Amino acid sequence: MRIEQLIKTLKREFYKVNFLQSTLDSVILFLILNTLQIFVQLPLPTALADYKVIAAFSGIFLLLNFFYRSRNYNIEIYENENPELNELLRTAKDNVDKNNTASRALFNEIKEISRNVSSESIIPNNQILGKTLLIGVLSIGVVMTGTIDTELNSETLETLWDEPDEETTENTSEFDYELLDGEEILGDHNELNPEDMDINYDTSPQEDTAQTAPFASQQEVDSLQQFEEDPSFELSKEYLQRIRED
Amino acid sequence: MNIKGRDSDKYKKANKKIAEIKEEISKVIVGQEKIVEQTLIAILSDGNLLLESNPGLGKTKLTETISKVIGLEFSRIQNTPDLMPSDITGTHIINESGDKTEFEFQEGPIFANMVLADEINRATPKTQSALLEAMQEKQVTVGNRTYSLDNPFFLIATQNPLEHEGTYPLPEAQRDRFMMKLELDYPEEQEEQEIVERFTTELEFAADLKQVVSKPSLIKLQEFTRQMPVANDIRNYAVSIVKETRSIEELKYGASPRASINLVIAGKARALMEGRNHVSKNDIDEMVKPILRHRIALSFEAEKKGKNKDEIIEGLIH
Repeated sequence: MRIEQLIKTLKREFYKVNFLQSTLDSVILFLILNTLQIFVQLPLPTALADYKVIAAFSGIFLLLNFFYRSRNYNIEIYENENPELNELLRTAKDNVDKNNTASRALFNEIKEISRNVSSESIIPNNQILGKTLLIGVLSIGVVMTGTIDTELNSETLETLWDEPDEETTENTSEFDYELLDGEEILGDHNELNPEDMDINYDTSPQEDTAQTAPFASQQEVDSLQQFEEDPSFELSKEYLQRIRED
Repeated sequence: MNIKGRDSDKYKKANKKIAEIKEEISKVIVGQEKIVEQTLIAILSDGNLLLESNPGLGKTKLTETISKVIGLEFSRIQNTPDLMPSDITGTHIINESGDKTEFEFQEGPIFANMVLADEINRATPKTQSALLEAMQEKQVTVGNRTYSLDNPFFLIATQNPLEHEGTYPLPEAQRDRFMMKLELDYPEEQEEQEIVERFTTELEFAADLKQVVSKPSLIKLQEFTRQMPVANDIRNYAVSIVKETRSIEELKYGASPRASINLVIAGKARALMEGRNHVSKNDIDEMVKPILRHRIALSFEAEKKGKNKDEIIEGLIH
């Protein structure tokens, strides 16, 4: 390998490390913005709340961060981080036009050493580890938010958690449940004459009863229909339906 | 194996050879690792060496041993006040064969790969100057003819400290031709005990020295040294150190650009010795003293204050 190639390789390694750093920073930024947008309800304009916009913003941040980090490339960066390369790289750089046994032996030595040092030496391991862990934590946070109804908007939250309005309160107060025993519902069994009874039953499911209570009696269905007219019942039904679906 | 692999292997082989050379030298020379290393650096850099020490510290032994290990033809010149330049370079003699009589060049002891000029500061300046051309141009001129010296060629000169009697300080121009000046110090007690043990058990101690490299291999190693890549900022650092010697008040004069050249080359050779394939700042720092100490001169005030050159050079390293 000619020394020009080696120097180019080292430069490429430098850019690789900086790109890695910038990428990690951007991912962290993306995850933070995304999480904040979900939980804190950032007062962002609707267009900015879109994850695509956050991703685009993170992309721009990546590029700017990368250019900022890579603005001061210098071969001495490797020398400082790798004392064993001290003077070797500068000597090679100053003798790049030489092509004799000694120069080639020097270039070979640098090549051998640089195999071991390459970009590893200029990677701030602690920073990378810290950032990776942060990304892990943020990612778990984002996954957790996926289990919560992300469609919960402010309107729904108000409906659920706000004080019930006056009308609802009134209706609820009038809504008294009274426990009835079997005779009150079905009549006195002594007065029951089986001969006068004409029992018809149909095994095919009725649409209304199947949806509300498939095995309920007609009387129960009738009483439920009374409840259906109540607004609180509607809300409760919807809530139960959602729980069932989940 | 691909070409890239072969390049690395060549380097490893070079390092292995250098390590073997050191090991062979250690069979004779006890301790003095730094001096041995710096001597080899001078050889790898194709530079000349000035060794200074008190007598009896093994300067001659060291040079002789190195020449054997690296397979170079060795010759020794014992400098004395009455030594003539022609005693070093050689001279034309009359050769009579049959009816013919002609001048024939008789090579002097300088015609070798590794020449030890022992106690060079005992020779007169005129004789010392005879070595100048050989050191820099790797050739000698006798009469109106120039003779090339064999490659590789090294001159290792030894000198006693200048305070000793009967010495002639080397002229500045000649000192500058020496790549390095090494100062041998007395060995540690344990090392000295080992020296005594080694050289007193046999009538003539002759270690079983192996020739590790051949002349072509040595030249190849020198080529490797020159090829050693050096970063611009390290080269500039070496130059700035040398340049600074010219503006220090405590120095009468500073080092020449030749010092800058030698400092960088020595750094390269040291890197090769250390098994690296690039020059580090430490290589330059380690070589500053031997490269500069004979190229600078203390001012009168600095001498009066009791300062020495090495202290001032140390202040240049940052």
